[in-house]
Amino acid sequence: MSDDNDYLAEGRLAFAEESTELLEQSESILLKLEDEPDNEELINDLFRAVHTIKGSAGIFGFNDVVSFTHVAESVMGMLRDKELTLNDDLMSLLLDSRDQMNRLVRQVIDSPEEPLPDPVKQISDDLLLQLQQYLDGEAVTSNPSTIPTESISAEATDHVGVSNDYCHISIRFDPSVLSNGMDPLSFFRYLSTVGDIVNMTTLTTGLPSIIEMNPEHCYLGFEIDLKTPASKQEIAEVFEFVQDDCQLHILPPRSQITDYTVMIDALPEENMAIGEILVATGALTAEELQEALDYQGEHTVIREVDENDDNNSAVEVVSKPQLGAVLVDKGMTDARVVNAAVDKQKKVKEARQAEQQSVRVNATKLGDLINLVGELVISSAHTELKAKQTEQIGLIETAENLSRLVEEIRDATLGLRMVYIGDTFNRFKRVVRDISKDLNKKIDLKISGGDTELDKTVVEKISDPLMHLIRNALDHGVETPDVRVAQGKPETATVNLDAYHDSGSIVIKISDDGYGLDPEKLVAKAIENEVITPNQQLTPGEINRLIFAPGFSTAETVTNISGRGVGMDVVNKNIDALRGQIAVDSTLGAGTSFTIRLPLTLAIIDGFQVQVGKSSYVIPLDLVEECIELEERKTEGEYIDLRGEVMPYLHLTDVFGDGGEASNKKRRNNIVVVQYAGQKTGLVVDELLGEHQTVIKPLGQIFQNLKGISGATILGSGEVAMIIDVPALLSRVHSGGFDITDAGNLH
Amino acid sequence: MTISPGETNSKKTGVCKLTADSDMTIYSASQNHQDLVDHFAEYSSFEIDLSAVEEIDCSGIQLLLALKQSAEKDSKTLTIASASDATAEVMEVLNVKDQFDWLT
Repeated sequence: MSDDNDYLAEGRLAFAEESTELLEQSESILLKLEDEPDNEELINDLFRAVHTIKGSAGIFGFNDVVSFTHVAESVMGMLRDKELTLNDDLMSLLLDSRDQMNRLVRQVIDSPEEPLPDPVKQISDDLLLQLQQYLDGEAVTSNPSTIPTESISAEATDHVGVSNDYCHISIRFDPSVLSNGMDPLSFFRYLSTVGDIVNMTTLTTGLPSIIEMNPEHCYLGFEIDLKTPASKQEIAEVFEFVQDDCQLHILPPRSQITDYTVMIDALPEENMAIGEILVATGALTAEELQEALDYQGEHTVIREVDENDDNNSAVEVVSKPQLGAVLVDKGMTDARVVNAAVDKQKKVKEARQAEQQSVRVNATKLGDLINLVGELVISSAHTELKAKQTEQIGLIETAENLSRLVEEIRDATLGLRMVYIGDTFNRFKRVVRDISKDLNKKIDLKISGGDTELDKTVVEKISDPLMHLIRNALDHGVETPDVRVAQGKPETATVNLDAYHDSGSIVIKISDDGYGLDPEKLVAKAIENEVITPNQQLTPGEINRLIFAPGFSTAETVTNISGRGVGMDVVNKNIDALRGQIAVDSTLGAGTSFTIRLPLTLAIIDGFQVQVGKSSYVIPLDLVEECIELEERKTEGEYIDLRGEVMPYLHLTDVFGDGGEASNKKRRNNIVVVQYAGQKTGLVVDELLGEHQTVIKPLGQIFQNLKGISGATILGSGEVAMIIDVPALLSRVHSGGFDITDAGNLH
Repeated sequence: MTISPGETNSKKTGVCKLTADSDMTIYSASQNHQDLVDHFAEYSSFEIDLSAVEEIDCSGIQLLLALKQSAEKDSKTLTIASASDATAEVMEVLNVKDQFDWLT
C-alpha cells in the first residue's frame, strides 16, 4: 500500500510545484495588468493559468480549490470577453482571490485529509460572495458597445449544464498500464459497485495493426456513462491506483458545456470523432456538442471583420485546424481566411514553445555537478603542470586544449545556476502595492536591471534582506502624500530598485526619495541604547551605519510592517554571510539609498595568482585592474601617484607577516591594482604568477575569524593557495588598521 | 497457452481455424500475439474458438480487437466460433460484443 501512497504523494508534489508556478505567474500578470489593463494577451494568460490550476486540482479531487477557482475563473472569463472592465476594486479582488487560491492549494497539499479550517473557509466565502456579484452583473461596469452578441449567448450557455443526467467518465490508459500489472477491467468492475454503468464505449482508434502492436501495451480508451449518486471525488478514488498511468476526466451530471469542451480538447482523438461518440452515447445532444465545439473556438479565436459580408457582422474565424475544416465544409467561411488564421496561430504557438523550453533539474544534482566540475578544474590544472614538466610539445598542446575545454565546461556549468534577479524584484511590486494601500501612501516602484544574472543560491538568500529593506523604505523612508506636497516634493514617492554588474560583483541598489536618515536622531537613539557613548565623535558615514546595530529603530511608531528594531542587523549579517557588503548613503530630506554588493558566484572564480614570500595567493581576477611596478623612490607614506590619482597601497608581506627576508633581497616589487566599490588600492606582491582557475574551498571553522582571507584553493602542483578577501582587506585598510586614512582623504 | 491452428486449415481456401487456450491474459499476451501474427499473413479468413478460455483480461480483448481491425482493413474476415462464459462476461463489461462477427 505504501507504494500507492508514494504515487499519490508524488502526484501531489507535481501539483504543488505546478500550481505554485502558475500562481506566481498569475500574480505577476495581475500586477502587469494594473499598468496595462487593456492588454488582452495578459488577460488570456491569466485565464489560462487559473484554468490549469482548476484542472489539475480537479484531477486530484481537491474540491475546495476547484470550487473557488471556478468562480474566479468565470470572472476572469468575463474580463476576457470584455463584459467587465478592470478597475481598482476588481484588481484588489482578483489579487485577493489569487492569494486565497494559494492558501487553498497550500492547505490541500499540507493536509489533504483534513477539512478546510474555518478562517480559510471564511475568506473563501467572503471572496466568493464578492466575485459572485460580478458574475451576477451587480457590480458590473461594462461597456455595452464592445460586447459582441455572440459572446453573450456563449457566456449565458456557460452557466447552463448539459441535459445529461449521468456522470460521464472518459479514461485513456497509458500504454504501460498492463505491464505494470494493472488491468483496466478490474477498475470497471469496481466502478460498477459505485454506480450503474449505463454506457460503455471501448475506443479502438488508437489500436495499431496486429503486426505492429505491442501486445503488452494498452491502446484502448473508454468512454463511460455512469448513473450514480457518488461525488466526483468518490469516482476518482476508484481510479486512484492508476492515477499516474492514465488520463482521466470525470464530468458530474449536468456539467457545464465548457467542461466538455475542455475534455474534448484534452483527449487524444480528433475532436469531431470524440464528439460523435459523446452524442452516440447520449452524453451530449447534437446541439450541445456544437456549442461545446463553438466554445472551444472562442478560446483561440481570431476575429476578423469581413467587409464584404452581407450581414456586415463579424465573422468568427476559428483557428483550431479540425474545427476550421468543419466550418469550411459547412460553407461558413472562406478556406483562405481559415488557413491564414491557422498559420498565425501556429507561429504564435511555436514562439511560445521556444520561450518555454526548459528542464527542471533537482538542485542537489546541479550542486553535485558543480562540485565535480570543481574537481575537474583542479585536476586539469595538475595535468597541465605535469605536461609542461615533460617538455613534450604534443602533450603540452593537448593539455592546454583540455584545460581550455574544462574552462568552457566550468563557465557553462556555473551558467546553469544563473537566474535573472528580475523575478525576485517583481515580487516586490506586490509588496509595494499592498503596503502603500495600507499606509495610504502613493509609491511608485521603479525596477531596472531585472535581467542581471546572479547565482540562484545567492538570489534565494538575498530575497529576505531585500524585502526588509523595501519594507523599511516604504514605512519609514517615504512620507505621506500631504507631507510630501508640503515639502514641495511630488505627491507620489519613488522607490528605485536597481541591479547591475560591477567588476566581478553584482550591485543591488534600493533608494527612496523620502525623509532620509536624521543624524541627530540616530546619535540620540544610539546613546539611549548604549551603542555609543555620548562623547564619541562619529563621521557621517559611521552615523549612518548605526542603523545596522542590533535593536536599533528610530521609528516613533511601531507598525506591523517594520519598526520593531529587529532587522537591519539581521540584514547586515545575511549579506555578510554571502560575502557581500552593504553601504548606506543618505541625505536628510532627500532620501536614503542602500547599496548591496555581492559576489557573482560562490563556487569557482577566475583568479590571479601572486607570490608573496614563500606562499602563493589568489586575487579574484575580476577585481584586478592592472599591474604596475612599484618604484622605490618612496618607502614611506604608502600611497602612490597613479596617473594623477592618489592610490593607497599595502604590502601583503606586512599583512600576512610572511617571508620578510626573501622579499627584501630583490626589490623589484609589483603592485596589483584592485578596484572594489569604486575605490582603487594597490597590493604589493613579490611575484606575478598569472591567471589561475580557482575552485573556492571553504576554510575550516578555526579560520573563520581570519580577516583578509576568504578561502583556499588547490593549485595544480597540489599546493594550497589562500584566496585574498579584497573587500575585507580594504575595509581593514580604510578603517585605519593601517595609517593611510589621511592619504585617502587627500583624494 | 497458445492459440493453435486446427487440422482443416488449407491455404487454398484461405480459412484458418484457431483455438485459444485457457489463458488470454497479459501473461501470455506476447505468445498469443506471436501465434496470431504467424498466421495472419497466410490466410484470408479466420475462425477463432474461445470456448476454452478460462481467463481473459483487457490485453486479450485488445488482441482480438486488433485482429478484427487488421482483418477488416485487409479485407479478411474474423469470426468468433464460440466463447466461454468468462470471455462473454468480459466482452459484456467492455461492451465490445457487437464489434465481432459471431458464428452463431
